[in-house]
Amino acid sequence: MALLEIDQLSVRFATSVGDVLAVDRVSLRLERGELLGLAGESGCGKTTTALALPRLLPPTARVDATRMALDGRDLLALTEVEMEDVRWREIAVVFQGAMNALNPVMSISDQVLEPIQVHEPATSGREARARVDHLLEQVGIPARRGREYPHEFSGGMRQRAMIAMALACRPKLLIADEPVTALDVMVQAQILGLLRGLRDELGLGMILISHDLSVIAQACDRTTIMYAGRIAETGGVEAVFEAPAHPYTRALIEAFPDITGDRVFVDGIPGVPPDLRTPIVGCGFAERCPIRVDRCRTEEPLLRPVGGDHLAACHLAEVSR
Amino acid sequence: MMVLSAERRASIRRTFGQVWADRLGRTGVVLLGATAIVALIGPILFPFDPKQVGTSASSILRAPNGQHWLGTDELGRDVFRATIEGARLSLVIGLLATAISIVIGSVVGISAGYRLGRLDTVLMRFTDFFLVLPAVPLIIVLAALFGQSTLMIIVVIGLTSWPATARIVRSQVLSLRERQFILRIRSLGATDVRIIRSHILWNVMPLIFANTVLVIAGAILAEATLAFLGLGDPVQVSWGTMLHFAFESGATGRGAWWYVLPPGIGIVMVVLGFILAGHTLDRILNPRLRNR
Repeated sequence: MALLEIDQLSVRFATSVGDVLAVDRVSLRLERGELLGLAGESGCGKTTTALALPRLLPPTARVDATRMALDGRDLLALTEVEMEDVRWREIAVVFQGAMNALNPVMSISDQVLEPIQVHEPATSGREARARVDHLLEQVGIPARRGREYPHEFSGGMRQRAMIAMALACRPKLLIADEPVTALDVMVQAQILGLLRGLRDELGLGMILISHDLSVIAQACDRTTIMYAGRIAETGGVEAVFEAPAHPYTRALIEAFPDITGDRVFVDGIPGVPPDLRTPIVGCGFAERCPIRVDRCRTEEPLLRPVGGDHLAACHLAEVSR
Repeated sequence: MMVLSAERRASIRRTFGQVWADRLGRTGVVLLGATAIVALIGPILFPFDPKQVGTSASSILRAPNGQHWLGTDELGRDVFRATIEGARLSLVIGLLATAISIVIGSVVGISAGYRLGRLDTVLMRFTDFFLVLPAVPLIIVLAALFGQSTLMIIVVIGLTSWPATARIVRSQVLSLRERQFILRIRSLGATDVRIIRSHILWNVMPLIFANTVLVIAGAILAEATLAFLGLGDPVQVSWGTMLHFAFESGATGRGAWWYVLPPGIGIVMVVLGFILAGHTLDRILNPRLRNR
């Protein structure tokens, strides 16, 4: 049994201009000890998909799914009170922009301590302190530096502290939303290495959300590329990046300059993503697709295998390989 | 909960150092320190006995001399000793009234800013009501209603001087509650009490503190105003009551400057001290005014 099973997850936001379908029938599987990368450009629904699990979406969101289960436990059937218990103890989140999510006037260790105090009030003060020290060491912060305040920490250190905080209640699933976005490349590599190490050490399932394909390629085992609320392509990182089957994935990869190749001007993907207020007919990427055919505008491409567990939602998937 | 960690003590020391480094701030601190010392140990060295009145007509309103360094009042009592005694009462009233005012202001400001919605609307309209009400006439009415005791004066000043604090605290809480770390802690499932106690409160503390110092100045002035208008406690000596009796007895008209100037200068010094220290603190602790 997979650690996480999501079937046909849809999320709608009620807005003053009508419903916005932010996530459209997304299905995901995640094994224990697996690192899944959710990729796609801004607004494609990657964060919304992930935050629907611990029910951390704003109240205007309406979530539908045929199944959402963590470790066999049905997340859809939980009451709000039961969900409070699942949050942090089973599903922990490192939020986007987490480096600014520290209280400036509270010491780091006090902040790492807080989830334990909130969720495991029975833990004795000394035991909790010992756990905080251990957590800090685990993420590469010397325990004595826990007494310091956020302004005394660098961006990478703060991100480490946020990860320690997320791990405080020994979750099974860690959702890391753009965990390395504002960090420089060296620190990015360190943090990604840390996440992989923790995954191995603790057997965590991890969902890493990033708009940066190089981050996904560097850190993840599998990846799911999203576009306009739908999954465009999913599969092992090597398969997807070596032999992208969806034209959107190909375009994303081409939007990255090659470090060894000739000097070329990278011009990105022309056009803009579709307006999610109106239902998408056919393929969401059709308008920007260089290889579209008439059928793409009328018939929705479903995910289908293009090799092993490598799936792509494109009518031309086999042809374009 | 309020135990100060070594870091926090260090940061308080640092803040004090910054105030001291500022010329105006240092002037304020010196003025306040001098007044505090006078109020604390002055009455021990120079006790004032209000019953020790002059025995002959020549002992009233005497100009300063070797025996009475600042002359005598209309009952022949020593003005120097009365001034020292008055410092104590003025400071005590100022501090206690401020304590009431800050507690009400912070509670109202934090609840309104954190809870928002209907509670916010009700609390803020209530605050606005107190804010637009001219304070002095209101205090006069309240003091007249509730009598002329020192306790009443403290309560009345405390109850009328909180609206500005509430407004300032609320605006800060409004911005704090939307900050990332508060949202994160809320997603953690922390209770509101916990969020306010261990996160919001410590973050608005500098603002409350800087504001407190300014409120004390206002409270001392308010006490002097009330007492001068004859609404103070007539049995206790404060700078305000001294000015009141000086005015009543016609000391001003008779050119008895030694009776009018000491309490007047005392009030000015203390209020100036608090305002200078308060503004300096405000500049240091209020992120928008901090010069980098």
